[in-house]
Amino acid sequence: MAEQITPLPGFGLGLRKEHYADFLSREVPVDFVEIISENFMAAGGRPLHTLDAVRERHPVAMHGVSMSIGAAQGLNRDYLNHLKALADRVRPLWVSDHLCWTGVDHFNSHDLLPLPYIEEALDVVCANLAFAQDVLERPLLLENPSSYLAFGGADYTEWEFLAEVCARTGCYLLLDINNIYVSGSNHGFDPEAFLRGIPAERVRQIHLAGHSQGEAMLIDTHDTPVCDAVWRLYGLTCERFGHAATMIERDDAIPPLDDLLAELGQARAVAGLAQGVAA
Amino acid sequence: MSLLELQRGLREHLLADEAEADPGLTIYHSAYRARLLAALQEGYAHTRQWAGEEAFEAAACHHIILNPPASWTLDAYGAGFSETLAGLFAGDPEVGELAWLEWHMSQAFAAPDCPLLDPAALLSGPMAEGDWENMQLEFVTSFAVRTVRTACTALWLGLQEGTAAPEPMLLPQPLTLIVWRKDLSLHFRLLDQAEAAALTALAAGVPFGAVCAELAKGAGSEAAVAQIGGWLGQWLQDGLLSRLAP
Repeated sequence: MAEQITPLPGFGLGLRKEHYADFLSREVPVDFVEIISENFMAAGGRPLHTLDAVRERHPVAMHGVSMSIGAAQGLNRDYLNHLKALADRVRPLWVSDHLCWTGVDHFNSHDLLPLPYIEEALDVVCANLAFAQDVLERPLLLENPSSYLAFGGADYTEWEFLAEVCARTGCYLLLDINNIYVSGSNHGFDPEAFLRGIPAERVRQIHLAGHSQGEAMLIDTHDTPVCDAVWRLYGLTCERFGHAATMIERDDAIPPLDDLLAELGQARAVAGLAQGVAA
Repeated sequence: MSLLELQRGLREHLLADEAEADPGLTIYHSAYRARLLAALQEGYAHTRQWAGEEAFEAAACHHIILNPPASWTLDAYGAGFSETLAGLFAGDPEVGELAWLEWHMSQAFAAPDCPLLDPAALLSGPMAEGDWENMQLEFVTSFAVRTVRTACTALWLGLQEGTAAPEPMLLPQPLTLIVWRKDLSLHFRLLDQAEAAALTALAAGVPFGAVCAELAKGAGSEAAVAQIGGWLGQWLQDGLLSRLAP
């Protein structure tokens, strides 16, 4: 795919309904907002009305959870058509989704289910991604998910798998630093090795979020502030991928917007410090 | 094992009554149910409050077992839950009817935008041309209709505003409930039998003349014309009508 996505080294927040009134009534100091695509893939009414109004004030990135890019049976064309219609309306900075699968045989789990990093899965992901990029007429960003299950007999590490997908399809990456930390803790890999294995020139966006300690594993809950360990990893990330846009995700226990803006200020400070180190 | 076999195996695990011992599989197993339960709790907030937390959750779990999601959007998962509730709460019919109202309000909220019928177009078109008998009306895309036996609309308002539930809950006779959206505002209204008969016939595509003739059987021609003219003005003002059928 010939089209390129220009890097945007800015800072943004997820657009959540708890903050609609803020975004529509005052100047919010963000460089972009990210929407959950499926929340606005409605046919009409207030969701799209709100999005149109926010779009007049801020650039928008579209982030999906339902593409199921690793589905062995291929992608849902109806979903892609709806996503394309929204992208044509929003004209987003970019469209992203996750390296995962969500369902099979007309069953949809509505979860980001893990893939085995094997040759067959690589072929499936690349074929699905190429198809999606053709339908959407734009390159996609692929995000590394948190996972709680690893499969034996892997041919690749997760970062090798992502790098190979980029090489084969021309897609870009959305690196979720919290997900790297959570999966690294759950599966025993070194988050810094993950970062070193990622092709820097393909990274366009960075997610930051909070997680919780489950009974046996870390859980990607998006309901707490970014923890110190993830801030440290983010600093290392900025040294390598400082050209990428950063966003804080909060999907539960959502605080007032000003709290998130303060947390975003911390991201700006960490990034500024890291880029000073890198320079 | 192929990727497809692996994915089918994980689906069977998610749908199984009990999680396997693996801690990772347990996380996915419980997250699947928690996500669907949360979707029903959020989509049916008033019904949840009225039915009670424990009873609602038991009904939701029953629905989740019998209705694995198929759509790519979680917003669609609430479809059919009001029927499940109507069956489980057969002795409390307001539960299923309240759920139907909540579901159709949520559907109207994001229904496709459509133009509203301009009264001037009506007057200068079929009315002026004397072709009103064959006129067919199309309703807005958010329009939904059903018969109810309970004061579910008053119950919804009471739950919304924190006021007392209606007494008695059963209506003296069944009424017709309509739900729709005008611009960005949601509306619902109970109709009496005569207006409901005319409106549901028109919504089903029956020509205006035939609806008038049916009304005239009971009310007489003059009264029927006055009656349906009044209703038509109300429907136009309420934003129920979208356009004349081509």
